Amino acid sequence: MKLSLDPAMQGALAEDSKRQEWFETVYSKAQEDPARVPWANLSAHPLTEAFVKTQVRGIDGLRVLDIGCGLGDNAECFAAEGAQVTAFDFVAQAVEWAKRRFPQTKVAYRQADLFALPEEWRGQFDLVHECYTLQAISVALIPQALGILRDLLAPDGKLLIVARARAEDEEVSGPPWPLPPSVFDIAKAQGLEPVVIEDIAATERIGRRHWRAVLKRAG
Amino acid sequence: MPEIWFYHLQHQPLEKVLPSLVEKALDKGWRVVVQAAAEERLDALDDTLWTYADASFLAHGRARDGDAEMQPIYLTTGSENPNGARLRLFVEGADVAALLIAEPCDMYERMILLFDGADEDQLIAARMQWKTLKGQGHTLAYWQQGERGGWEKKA
Ligand SMILES: C[S@@+](CC[C@H](N)C(=O)[O-])C[C@H]1O[C@@H](n2cnc3c(N)ncnc32)[C@H](O)[C@@H]1O
Repeated sequence: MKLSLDPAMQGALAEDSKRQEWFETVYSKAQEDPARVPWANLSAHPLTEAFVKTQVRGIDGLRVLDIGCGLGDNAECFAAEGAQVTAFDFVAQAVEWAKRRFPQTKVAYRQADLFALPEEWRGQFDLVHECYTLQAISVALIPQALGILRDLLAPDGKLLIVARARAEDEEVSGPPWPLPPSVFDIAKAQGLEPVVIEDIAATERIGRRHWRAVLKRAG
Repeated sequence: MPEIWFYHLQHQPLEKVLPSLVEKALDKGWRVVVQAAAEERLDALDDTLWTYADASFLAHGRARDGDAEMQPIYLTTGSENPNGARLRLFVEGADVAALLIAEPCDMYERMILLFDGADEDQLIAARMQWKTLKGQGHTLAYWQQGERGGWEKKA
């Protein structure tokens, strides 16, 4: 397995392929108005929340990492059920905003780039959660991103993905780029085995087709 | 105690009815256990749930797949509820009354027994279940399928 948290690999990344500037602009133009941040619903994603609520053994005490946490609602949802949550976003303004929204928070918010994470996070998390972040990064970076997510998992850890879904041959004009089924083959190649892949049809509550998938470390 | 519904299949086979019932439950945030009387039946349902629609499928698992506690839909011939289901479906002769006696059932919101009106054995078994459960004081409802596939509450 390649060591995808290796700083040498991060150097190879073209800065703009991460779209950091674009995200920074969205948050700074919003000027504290969440209505101007397209993904900010000011509540946890219903599929994430339902996952949290249906865990048979609960999530109390689990070490959870929320990647691309935005304004923090998903991170807070895990923390409310007793998880020890770390949440990061590469936009400093988003992180500061999340902290201001939840002044009493137990979540450890910090600014970090998925492609340059602290080495000491490797293998440290029982649950890594991503909601709408994979679909927001360039397709070319997906394999590397999945490899990094895998490396963050503790031996029995799970990765929870909540993302918009599309058919393999469906045209997309992202961002965002809804994920095709083959993303799970890419995950497999990065050492992530499916535990459950839910293909969720659009309903009144969830306007579009989604994946909610739980993956675990292979082997 | 869960409410117990009897679904009388007349115009559509189980393969058609089951996915939509399960979808509705998941949309409510309920997980589901499907209990059948025989493993062969589970094999067929296994296929149905993967292939019932072109563009989507319903993720599910059985004991042999592992990670049962993570499954939104769990198929079994046993009495367990490893995924914390709130809805339990009984198909083709699986015994509701026996489960209610054997296991704590407070976590369920609803149990549904589905039976095929064209199958004499299933019809007789469902009648016996109705009588037994009624005698035990459970809250029962009986639904019949209309010609267009909708469900009407008859009792
Ligand atoms: C579409 S938003 C979703 C935000 C949040 N997860 C939610 O569900 O509301 C994607 C978020 O990921 C962040 N992000 C994108 N690429 C990132 C990277 N390489 N490292 C850290 N954060 C990233 C963006 O700044 C943005 O806040």
